[in-house]
Amino acid sequence: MNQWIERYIYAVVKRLPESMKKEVSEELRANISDMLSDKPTDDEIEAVLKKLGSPRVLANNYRGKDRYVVSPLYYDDYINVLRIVFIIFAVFSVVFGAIDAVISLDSSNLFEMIFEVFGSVISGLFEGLFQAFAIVTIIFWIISYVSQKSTCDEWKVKDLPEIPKASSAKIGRTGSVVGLIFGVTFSVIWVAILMRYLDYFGIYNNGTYLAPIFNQNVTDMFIPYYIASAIFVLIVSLLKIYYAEWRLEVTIPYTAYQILSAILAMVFVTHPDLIHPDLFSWIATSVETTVPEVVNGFTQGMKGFAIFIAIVTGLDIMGTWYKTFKGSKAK
Amino acid sequence: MDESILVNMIVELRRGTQIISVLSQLEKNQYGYSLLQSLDGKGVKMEAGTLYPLLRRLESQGLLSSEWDTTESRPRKYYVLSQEGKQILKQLKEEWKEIVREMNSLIVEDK
Repeated sequence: MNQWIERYIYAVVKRLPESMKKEVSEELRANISDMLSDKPTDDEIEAVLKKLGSPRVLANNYRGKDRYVVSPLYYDDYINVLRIVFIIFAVFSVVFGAIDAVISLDSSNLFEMIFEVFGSVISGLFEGLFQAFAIVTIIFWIISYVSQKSTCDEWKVKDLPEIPKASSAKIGRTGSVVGLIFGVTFSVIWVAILMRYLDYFGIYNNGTYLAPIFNQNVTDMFIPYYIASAIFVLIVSLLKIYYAEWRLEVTIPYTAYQILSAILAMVFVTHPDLIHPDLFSWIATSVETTVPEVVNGFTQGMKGFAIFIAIVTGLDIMGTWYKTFKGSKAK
Repeated sequence: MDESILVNMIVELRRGTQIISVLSQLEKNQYGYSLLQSLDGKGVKMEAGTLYPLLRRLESQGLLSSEWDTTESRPRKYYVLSQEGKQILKQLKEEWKEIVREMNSLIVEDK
């Protein structure tokens, strides 16, 4: 018997349950030989096998019933549940990844630290998403399997879902999750810098340390506020993800967070002792001017920056409230 | 118009007639390929890859009985309607006539 025929038969029966294999290969062999002349050429054999179609399709026809991991009937539910579980797992793994990174920080330099935090967050995220995918898929697999066995598709009119209120103030969940990941990660990195790696913010010349940038007494004072701000951004992001639209439950905490973090940033950059005096004198010597002039210029610049922060925050808050009211009116 | 829509609809429409076509030709013994040819001779096109699995399924449902003939140089599996298969075919034929009558009343244009 020609090897192509045997290989074709094998390709079909390997996809079938054990109990069918022997019978189906005998049947196929008989049917194929009927379709061929007594001394078939290779071309003839190929034509007949092509006529029978792809082994995968033929095996599927023999098997009779469709098989799937998630039943088409449950596919939409599967995708929706997967989306929500992904979001929950993403949030938890980012938060725990960040906490874990901070607890076990052991790198000696700033860049390693940043990579460590990012690495921990990203690997935690992937691990979490894979777990979420596996768990949801297995559960739906079981549901599909069980529902296939039982033929009852009873339902009650009472079980029909309520029609959701239309809203023009939707907050995209993907955007919120991305915002959460970056918000938390950068907050953690910033706090870690203030706590442990401040020395790296300094002026170096050929590897020798000339002057620090920040005055540590001042930055230490800000650490608790930045930690509070990190927690606040986490809570606000979770609210945004949970409600997924601009409504008072989200807009009020969001506004509070925006105002407080703007004030924190403004107080921080305009603090008179934020910058180490050594830096000012170093700048003064290198640009050949007096220290008070450098301080004055810096203070002016920071005032401008603070005003800029205030304006941007104000515009953002205004826009958010506009969306909130427009959304609530649309109902 | 998208040709593939029409093609798919025709395939779907014809799929329902496969079982009755096959059963109708098995009053007397036939093996897979001879059945394919006798259907073909009457203008009914069926893919070999569809027919062979279908024969197996009808057999497992008890509508066909089969027997291997190994006396010839080529072993062949012969199928024939079982008692139950004959019953079913009779009822399917009735149903088919009913369908034709209904369809005619729907689609034959009024004169």
